[in-house]
Amino acid sequence: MLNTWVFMAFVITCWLLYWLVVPVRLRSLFLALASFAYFAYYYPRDMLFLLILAAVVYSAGVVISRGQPGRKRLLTGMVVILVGILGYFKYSAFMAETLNLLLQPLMASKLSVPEILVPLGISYFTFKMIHYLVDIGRGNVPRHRLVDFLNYIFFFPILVSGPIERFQPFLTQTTALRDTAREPERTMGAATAPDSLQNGQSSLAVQHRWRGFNTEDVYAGLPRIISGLFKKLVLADSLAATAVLLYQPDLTAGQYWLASFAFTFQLYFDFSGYSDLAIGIARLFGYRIMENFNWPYLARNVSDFWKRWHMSLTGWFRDYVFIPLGGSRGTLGLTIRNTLLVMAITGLWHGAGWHFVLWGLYHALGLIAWRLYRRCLLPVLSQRSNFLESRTANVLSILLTFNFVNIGWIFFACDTGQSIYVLTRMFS
Amino acid sequence: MNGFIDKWLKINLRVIVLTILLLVGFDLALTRLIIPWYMNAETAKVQVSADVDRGPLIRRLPADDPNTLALWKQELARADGFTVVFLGDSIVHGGGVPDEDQTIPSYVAHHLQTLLPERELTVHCFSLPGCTPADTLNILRYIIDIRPDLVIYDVNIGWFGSKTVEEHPRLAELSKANDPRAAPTADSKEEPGLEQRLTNLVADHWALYRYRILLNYLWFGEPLREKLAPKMRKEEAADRLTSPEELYKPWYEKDFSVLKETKGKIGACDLDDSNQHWLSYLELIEALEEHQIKAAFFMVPRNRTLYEMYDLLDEKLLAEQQEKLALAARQSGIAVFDYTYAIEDRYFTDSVHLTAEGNQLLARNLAWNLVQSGLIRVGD
Repeated sequence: MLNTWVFMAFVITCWLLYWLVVPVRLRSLFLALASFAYFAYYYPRDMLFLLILAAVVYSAGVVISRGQPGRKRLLTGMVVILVGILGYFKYSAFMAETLNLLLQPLMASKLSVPEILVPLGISYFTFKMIHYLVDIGRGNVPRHRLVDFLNYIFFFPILVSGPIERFQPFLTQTTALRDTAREPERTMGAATAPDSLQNGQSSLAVQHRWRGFNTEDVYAGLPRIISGLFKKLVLADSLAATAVLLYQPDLTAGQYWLASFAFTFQLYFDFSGYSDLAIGIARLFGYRIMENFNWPYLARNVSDFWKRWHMSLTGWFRDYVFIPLGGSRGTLGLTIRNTLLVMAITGLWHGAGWHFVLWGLYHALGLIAWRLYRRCLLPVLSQRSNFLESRTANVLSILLTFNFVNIGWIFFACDTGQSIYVLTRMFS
Repeated sequence: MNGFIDKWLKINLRVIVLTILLLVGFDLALTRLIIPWYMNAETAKVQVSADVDRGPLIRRLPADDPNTLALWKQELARADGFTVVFLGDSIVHGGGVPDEDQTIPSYVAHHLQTLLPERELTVHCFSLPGCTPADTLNILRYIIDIRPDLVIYDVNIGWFGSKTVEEHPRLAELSKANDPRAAPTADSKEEPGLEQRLTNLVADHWALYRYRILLNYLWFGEPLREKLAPKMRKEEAADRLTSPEELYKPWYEKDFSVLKETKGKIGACDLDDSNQHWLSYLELIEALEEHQIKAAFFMVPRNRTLYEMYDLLDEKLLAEQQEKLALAARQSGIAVFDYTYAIEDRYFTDSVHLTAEGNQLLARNLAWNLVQSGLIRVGD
């Protein structure tokens, strides 16, 4: 959706209006309205639902922030409702199918599998809303206006596929951009106007138009957009032609290995391409969105991989699930339980299917193995030899991690039966 | 990753201006130099030549995308004199030969010019590999408003038993404008969506975007996506995984044992209203008749030995089926030439595709038949 001509035309039009026409104090409102209008054009039902939900969440946030009695119950209730909405839309059919399978011997008739249209970006906006409410509950969110919250939720570059930006930095940037309206004229004229406007053009209109604009944002945003489009259209879409071999039966081990590597890179280029697009476009509007990927396939262990892959989601699960569960502060048994639980949910977040859960659990086992190795084996090995600090060990650990991740993607790509079949063939 | 982009993809005002200048310059070069050179309008015109190893260079369609087809159509519209259009599948396209001057259209152009040296004529190749009758119909509809003087089509009965009606679904969209069935109904009033209109707008004004698929073929042989495309089925693998050198070798130097798994006989299909290929074939004939375009169909040559080796040939059945196809065409005034067994088996690269020598032989027959039947005369 972010790589269509309509979207590009929308971005250019919005960008020109945003910097040239819209008064600085109304820019946040303009972005919220434009984002809403763009997606409502394609998905009116989804956007209406999202608008109502956003209004409810904001209202709940106001009540929670006032510190009145019962705010914890309200917060818990809202989180349950948001998780319930996500569950209803995304997992109803999956749950019904699973129950049908489990209760098959006991039940005469099957549960009907609901056909529900999943609202656009539900996995992302529900997580953003949960973060917003929990952080208000923790007292971490400063006072703000409804329009700033709506802009945060609807902000078009990140609405559909993230990154799962945090509200606080977003608000800080919105406020900073708005505050440029109150700055003295000289600040803007010298430091932030485009080069062409700095040559003696000092009319109020011109200065007002470009207020807050920074050419550096364009120079930083455009390469990200180009890189994102290249990753998505050239690399990911090309690799997809080979990656589809994973869904075929009766191929050789070599072909399945080739397909798995193709899928591994396709997924990375596809997702990081979208993230680059989102980050680049946001930057054109003066927003710095958090990074989502940091060379994940160069990770030296599974834990390192998760610090580099889909970082905004990993951070979300760490802050709102793993740490509240006790994180790794308790006993080893508790840490293992928390890791299994968080990774299983992480898997499920990616899609409604048991193979996603398996993928999550596979990574959980990797993380647990890494933890045990670091705790029990690494100190002993480090004392005996310096090899682990050598460049060779570094390269080997990268290769090992990459292959571990690569095998894991097979569970992600294929359903359980096909995953097992492909893995059997790969190692036969 | 961000650091990498900052280091290698730095952008400032100078870079933006230079990029725009480069793009404008490249577009000018593309429209004024590269595309005219590629389409080679001058050499595509038939020249009398003693060299029969290779005919004149006649560009074959590399892809089925709208912009590439539009370019071919534009060349056809610009052509002077008598215009001959070849439609068909990989047999006409030259699936068994590496170069564009070794195809049937190319050799036909050579022989026609030899037979009729005073005649000004141009030959245009609108065939595509895997072109079913429905795809061919779509191409014909797309170019029919240009009204070529003669259409030549290779009738390959192999398609009539295929499960896939359209191997090139993009062509269906393309032909809608000239499709009489799509005109006045309420459903067909649907205008192209905003995305499509913007795509067209961009393509109209940006040659690099317009010819991106053509350029892929021109520079890289084929798009990266297709280079990486998997060869999944065993039958396809036997056909496609071979290197070009292997592909163009005569059939008897290659292993076709995979054909053992093929069941049925060639031409074993119902030619009736339940067969979509048959219906498309009839529509093709109807469209030619309706627009009063002269046409010649020819039954594609078959490698009898190879078919018999794997028990795929029932001569009687094939003859009956092909006669039915021929009859339908003849009833609308279309000339039909039967070359089923006209080419010796040694001139095949597989069961139907011909070597360069095979193409020459077929083209000589075809050119002679066209002149003899009066479809091309000295001065009409």
